[in-house]
Amino acid sequence: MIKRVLFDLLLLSLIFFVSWWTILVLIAVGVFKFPAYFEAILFGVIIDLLYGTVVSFGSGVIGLFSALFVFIVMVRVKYAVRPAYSTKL
Amino acid sequence: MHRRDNLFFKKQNVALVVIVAMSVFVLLFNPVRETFSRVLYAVAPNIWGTRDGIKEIEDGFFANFRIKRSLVYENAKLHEEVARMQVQVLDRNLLVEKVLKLEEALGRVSSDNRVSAKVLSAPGQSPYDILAIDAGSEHGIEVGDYVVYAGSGVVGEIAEVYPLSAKVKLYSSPGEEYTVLIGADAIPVTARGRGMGNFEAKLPKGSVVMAGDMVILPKEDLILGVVGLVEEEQSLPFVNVFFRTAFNIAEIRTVEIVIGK
Repeated sequence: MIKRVLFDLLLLSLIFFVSWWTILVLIAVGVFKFPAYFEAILFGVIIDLLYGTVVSFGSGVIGLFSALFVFIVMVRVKYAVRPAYSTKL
Repeated sequence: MHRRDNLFFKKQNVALVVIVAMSVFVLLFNPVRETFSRVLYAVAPNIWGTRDGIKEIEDGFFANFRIKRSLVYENAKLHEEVARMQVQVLDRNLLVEKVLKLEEALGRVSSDNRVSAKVLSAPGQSPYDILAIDAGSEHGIEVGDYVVYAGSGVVGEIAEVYPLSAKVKLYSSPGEEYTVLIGADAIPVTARGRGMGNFEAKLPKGSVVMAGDMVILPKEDLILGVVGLVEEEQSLPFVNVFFRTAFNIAEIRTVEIVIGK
């Protein structure tokens, strides 16, 4: 649990300093490492609130849907390589 | 056991759907989005500010050990300065033309009110062509104000304003379209943004445009970019003109906001 909180705090602070695709890679790591890593969606929303606007390219929801895409893909990958965890997102 | 796991799996799926639905609501319902953005931007400028502080401390500590690195840094700064001066030279040319026209019109004086701001976040950091700046409504900035670099190199417009910061939507955002004037003949054409300071436009075949020609935003006579490539194919009835801002948009550190235009 502590590892998860520390990882969340790291990601939250890195959103301000590194490029968005780096955050997506770290989200993928988080989804793979922790069960039900719904924080991924939250980080996507923060990227959109921080950098996007409703008038910008992609209507300001690129972060959310990118994070959701990474989440779904990584759950599939986790399901494929770690069948024991197949019942956990 | 299997049944219980299935139930757990279903519950988590429902949780995911609920979280995504709430996120979509927050992002697409403008008043809610604005509220959350405002809260985030109450702390974000301070966090971004620490980056510069950390860099200064790091540079000071390692200064004696990193002569090579400091030379590289100095070189980068000089490159930025050269880019800025190139734009200022373009600006001077444009000013000369302006003055001549004004003299013809019996000397009508025009001036604008500008606010300088530091760039907090460059476009390469996000999926959007957006700059975050450290000036906001308390400095008189409003949505729609022009944002320029080095005098008259226009980069975009204010899209969202917070008390001490603002978001700038770059003209080069993918899909954005603007009417511009290209070349010495000031040919009016619709330019389309391609991201990171790049644009493209289609001109009728036979138009006299060449690399190095200026592209101007007609509303305020601000320089949008410089033509980099003119592509002509025999089979097509038009020529593709590719142009970009006269400076690297990812490297700009300060901008000016033209207030009340």
